[in-house]
Amino acid sequence: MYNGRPIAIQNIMKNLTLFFLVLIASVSAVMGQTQTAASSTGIVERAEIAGIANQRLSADLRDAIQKLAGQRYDAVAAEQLANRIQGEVPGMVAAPRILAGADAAHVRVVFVVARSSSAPAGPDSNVNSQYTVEAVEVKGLERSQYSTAIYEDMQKMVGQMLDNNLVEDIRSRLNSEFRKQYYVKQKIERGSMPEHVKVVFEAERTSWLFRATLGRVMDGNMRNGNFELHTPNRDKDTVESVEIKGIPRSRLSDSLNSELQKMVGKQVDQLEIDHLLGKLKSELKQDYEVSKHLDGGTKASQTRVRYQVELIPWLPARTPEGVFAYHQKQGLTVVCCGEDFIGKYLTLNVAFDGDSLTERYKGLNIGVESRHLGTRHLGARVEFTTYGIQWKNQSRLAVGSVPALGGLYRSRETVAPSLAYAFNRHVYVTGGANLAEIEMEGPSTHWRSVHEGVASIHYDSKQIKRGESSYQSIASYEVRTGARNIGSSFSFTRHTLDHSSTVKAGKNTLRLSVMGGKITGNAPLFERFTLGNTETLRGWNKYDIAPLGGDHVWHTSAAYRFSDVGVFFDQGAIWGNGAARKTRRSVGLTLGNTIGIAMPLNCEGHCGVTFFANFKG
Amino acid sequence: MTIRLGFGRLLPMLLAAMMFPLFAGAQSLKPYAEGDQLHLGSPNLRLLSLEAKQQLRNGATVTYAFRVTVSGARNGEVRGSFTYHCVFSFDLWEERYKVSRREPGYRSASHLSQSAAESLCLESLLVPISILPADRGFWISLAYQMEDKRSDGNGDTSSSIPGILVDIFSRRTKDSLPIDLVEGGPFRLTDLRKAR
Repeated sequence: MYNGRPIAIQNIMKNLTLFFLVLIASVSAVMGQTQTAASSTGIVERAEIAGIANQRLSADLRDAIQKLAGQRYDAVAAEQLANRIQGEVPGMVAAPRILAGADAAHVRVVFVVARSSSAPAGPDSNVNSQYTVEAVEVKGLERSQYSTAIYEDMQKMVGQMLDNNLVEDIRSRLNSEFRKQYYVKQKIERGSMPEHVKVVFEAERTSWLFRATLGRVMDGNMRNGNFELHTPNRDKDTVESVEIKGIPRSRLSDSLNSELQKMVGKQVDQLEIDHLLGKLKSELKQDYEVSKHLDGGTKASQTRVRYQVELIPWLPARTPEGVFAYHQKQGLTVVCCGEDFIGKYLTLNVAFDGDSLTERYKGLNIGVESRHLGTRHLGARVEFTTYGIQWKNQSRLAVGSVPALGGLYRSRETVAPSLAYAFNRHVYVTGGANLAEIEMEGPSTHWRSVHEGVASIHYDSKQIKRGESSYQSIASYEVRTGARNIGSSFSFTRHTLDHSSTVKAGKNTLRLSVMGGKITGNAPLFERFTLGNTETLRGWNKYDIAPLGGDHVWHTSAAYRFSDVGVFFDQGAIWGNGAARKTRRSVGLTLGNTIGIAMPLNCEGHCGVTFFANFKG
Repeated sequence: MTIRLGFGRLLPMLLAAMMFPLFAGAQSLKPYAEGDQLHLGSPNLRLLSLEAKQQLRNGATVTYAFRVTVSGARNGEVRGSFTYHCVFSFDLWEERYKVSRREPGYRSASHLSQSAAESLCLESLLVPISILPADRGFWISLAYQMEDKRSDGNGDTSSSIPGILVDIFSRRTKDSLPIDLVEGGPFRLTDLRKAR
């Protein structure tokens, strides 16, 4: 293990010398004992303990050992004392040794204590585990603030050898008891006696903001710039006024306007307010979005009812969709909660996404977006993203087989300006750029550019209602191309086409979807297709199918749901350029279209049922 | 005698003085061959960060993960990649370090100074000579990172939704710890110092 550096040699040789000196001294002592052949019936001149500090033994035991002095050596009594030593110092073995005394009639008794060969000394064992816990303290908390069970377990550590796992366990339990109101750290300190240590748990109260934002105080929403720490209950107030904001009075019928004004002077009636909200929406049809707000009046106990009406832009928000997903083999995904973060134009998303790509990315997406640049036809968005990237082992192992990828990257930063043009409320096109820089992992850190031109066309039929039935169809085509003449290290073109149709009739829902894609050239990993997550080929694990994704993909899905219970059938294939194509299938059950279990159908090897969940919106 | 130093002379001297520590302490790999293994060494490399030393002095263990990658050329095709872990702890009473290597076999040594513990850890990182080209140069890169030990942090936050949010916002996760990299080459097997 060691050979080479002069400085290290000096240090280690010094340590080895010390070690050998100690060893030689011990061996000499033992050899001395055998050479002098001390009489086992002599008078004990002195009794000593070697191998541990005397203080690690109880006062009683130390006294009992000292009482051997002046008495004739008794092998049985000495053996019993050795056993008591073993009892008090777990993980150690003890044995009495008799050495020659000052004269032939006397002997010295040495209790040699050493670590038992069966004592745990694993790779993570802490060098301080050879010391005895003198005390366990908790700083920052009153005794009454944590449970008796934890307190008792702490006290059990006293007098024992330090066990880091136990310390960690108690720290973890303390943290659980305080549910993020405090965080607890542990610290091991020297004790007041040699070879003793003190375990200190230090509890610090978390910041007020941290406590406040973990669901205790926040009770409102950040959408549309409204942020309330708590919503006051206005049910006992009197309605001071009813206002319609965002449209001229003439847009409403006289009868509805009259109904709205009849609420003035009466007690706040949430049912009536909601009923009139529905009538407003119905009268304004699909071009407007209506929301209700209850504001404080000019006097105490009075409330102003405000209906906010906004023209719905033809262009949809192009902020990444909020997602909460879980895949049994791939972990958790949270993409939260970007639309209209501050005012109407600034969006912010926090992403922790291991579902959509081969990479797991986490970080921020900040966007500035207008869906109405002077006209409902035109919109623009500039997006800035910064993501840290994590890779699964399967991807790490596979990346060497695709040299064109140039390895994995550890971070990805993107600026993406784009324009959108809507022909009507159903069809719009986009065009823009996606300028990404990726920080490659190795063998040495460097950055590579992925500069793409992006164009797409989207169609959304919106929900078409016929009595109790409805139909909606959504389709899109997107092309992305990276080229060296726009500064990209990757030269490629990526086409994606997808379509889905949903038919609802009463409690029955049928959804059919189809998707296909193709990449030519050498695309970066984040542009490669994947299958086998919480939305495609459910039940399969994308890291088993294609840990680095693929250049070609197709996928279809058929799902039928009655009320909240549904079944689905997925099938698809993903493959690389020149590689064989294999169609995979899976079936599953869903509850509420969001959580479910799925099973691969034509799987080889160990393919069980996979649990998944996917909440969007 | 009066020495006058104008700004034009002073500035380069100041810059040189500021840059000196960078070059004086430059980290480089000094591998050597022993038997059928190549051992890594880096005389000036200081593994233990301030944070690591603080944790060690608080009685905790600190684990460093290493990835040794051998390639035919700088940024070239990877011939082999190996992962190792070293576990450090600090004896509170003797004020000495203990270091253990986890793989390929468990080895440990205690009563070491900091530099000896660091050296011992580095020199226990091995590359089989069989994967090295006998007649051509090769490059070695050593990426290393202190593993985040949640026990020393703010608690187990990753198992709950708030915990995950805390992780995201605070960037306190394992991969957010800095990864350091030392690389060297081209080395030739025939030129490497033979130990014994």
